[in-house]
Amino acid sequence: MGNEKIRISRRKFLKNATMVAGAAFGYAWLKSSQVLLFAAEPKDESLPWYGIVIDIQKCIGCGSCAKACKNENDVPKEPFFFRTWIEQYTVKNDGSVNIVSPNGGIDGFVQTVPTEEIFKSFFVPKMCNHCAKSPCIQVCPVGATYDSPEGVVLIDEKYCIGCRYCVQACPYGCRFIHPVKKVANKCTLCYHRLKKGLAPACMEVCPTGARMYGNLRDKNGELVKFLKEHTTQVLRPHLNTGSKLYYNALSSEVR
Amino acid sequence: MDPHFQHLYDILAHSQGYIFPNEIDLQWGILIVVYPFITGLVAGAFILASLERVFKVKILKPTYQIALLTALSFLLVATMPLISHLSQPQRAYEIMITPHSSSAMAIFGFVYLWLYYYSRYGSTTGIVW
Amino acid sequence: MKFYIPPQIPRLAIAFAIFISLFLLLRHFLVPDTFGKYGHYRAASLIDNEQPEIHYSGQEACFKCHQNIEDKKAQDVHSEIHCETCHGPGEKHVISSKAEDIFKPSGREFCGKCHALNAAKLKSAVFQIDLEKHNVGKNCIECHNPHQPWEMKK
Repeated sequence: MGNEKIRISRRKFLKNATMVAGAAFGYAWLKSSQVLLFAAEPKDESLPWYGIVIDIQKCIGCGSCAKACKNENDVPKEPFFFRTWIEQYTVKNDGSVNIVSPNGGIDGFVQTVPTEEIFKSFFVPKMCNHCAKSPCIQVCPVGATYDSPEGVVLIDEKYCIGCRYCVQACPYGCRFIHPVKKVANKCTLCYHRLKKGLAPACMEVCPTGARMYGNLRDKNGELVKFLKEHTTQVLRPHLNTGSKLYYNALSSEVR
Repeated sequence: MDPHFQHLYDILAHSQGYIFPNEIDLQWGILIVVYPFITGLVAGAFILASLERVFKVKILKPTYQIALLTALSFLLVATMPLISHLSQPQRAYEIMITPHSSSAMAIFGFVYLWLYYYSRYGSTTGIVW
Repeated sequence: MKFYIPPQIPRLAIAFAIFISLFLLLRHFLVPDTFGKYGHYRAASLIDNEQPEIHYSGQEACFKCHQNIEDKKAQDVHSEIHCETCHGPGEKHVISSKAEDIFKPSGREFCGKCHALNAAKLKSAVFQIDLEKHNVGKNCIECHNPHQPWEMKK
């Protein structure tokens, strides 16, 4: 009686043990061949963590940045492909908002609304926000877009399948499908220039210094100093994208 | 002006208000709409077949074979609009080998694989649950 | 307690096992080598993204030859503006040193991109003139030296 009891429980025990061992073995096997998850290694603290500041009060809408970006990165010249562009917002006295961006601002702006009707007007340069929790990375089905160790959102042009999911996921409209390469394309913060110690092309040519980039980890750096001294805001904060592009003097009309 | 982009210039000329320049081009067009239409056909035909076999609706007996064949044949081509919509269709396999777990599209690829396998072997071996 | 297992189930299980092992085998050969090194992406793509050629050299490259322009520029309001803002991408010119490889802007429209009157530009940010009233018909550089705008030519 007692013997039998033990025998049953032993069989049960062996059965359960085999199952647990099998599951552990299976898990280890799956994990080593990385079937389901590619766990990211901790970020390298020695590398910079890039952030961007755009000072709306300094922008004069000359379009140098948008033009330089197209030259530097071989972006098609048609007005449907921009890594960075400028918008002019004009709030009229009656409260309506007029937004224009002729050819992304590359040819400069002509004031379309008579001065006496204007309540306020300003330029907003737009570019990739290099979000820390970016929607475009989240939706990429193959891992062809990713956050580099420096916090720059990049595209793997040899791996992108061109599904256009990311283009639609970006709430800032910063992505497009390159009509020649047939893959997604976006601002890389001129990663090839950063690695050579040069400033991104748009910041190199900005005549008023409205654009700045810097290391957010460096607490004594220029960028962090600017963020300390000014009231800055990111675009669409309610979307919790972890945007690292900070606007100084951003108006609530901007979308 | 490149004639290839003519339709985009037309949209730009007719659009009122402001739209982000990169978003003038509509990214997911007719092919993406065709895909759920085909999967709808597959699901509908499969349910019709299952009505006869599982729920024993005898009046539908003449439709059983044609319904199941319809489901299978549309199932075989259901991914074609999706794959031809990709700009790089030759890289479509990447979605299976390195699926990004946070992407709805990648995970749905596995759902589809399971559905495909299940309905093929499930229907030929007579297992329906 | 014993469950009845239909004979199809083991057969199906075998088919699944074969299918999954084949898939894993294929996958082993298809996944790129550096995939997953830093995260869910191909680590080699970081190197790919460093590869593109630069087109804008930065003004230090300009001043290696054009020291005189640097001195001129430093004395006036355009001192903060980098050469390539107006002259366009300079890498080709830096390599070849030929005059035709660099853009020399002229004309009222070009200067007007920054200096034309616009309600959106802050007065403190840039000096603005009304292009329709200020010396109509004349080219800006007839009077102003773009490197030293307040040193009038006459």
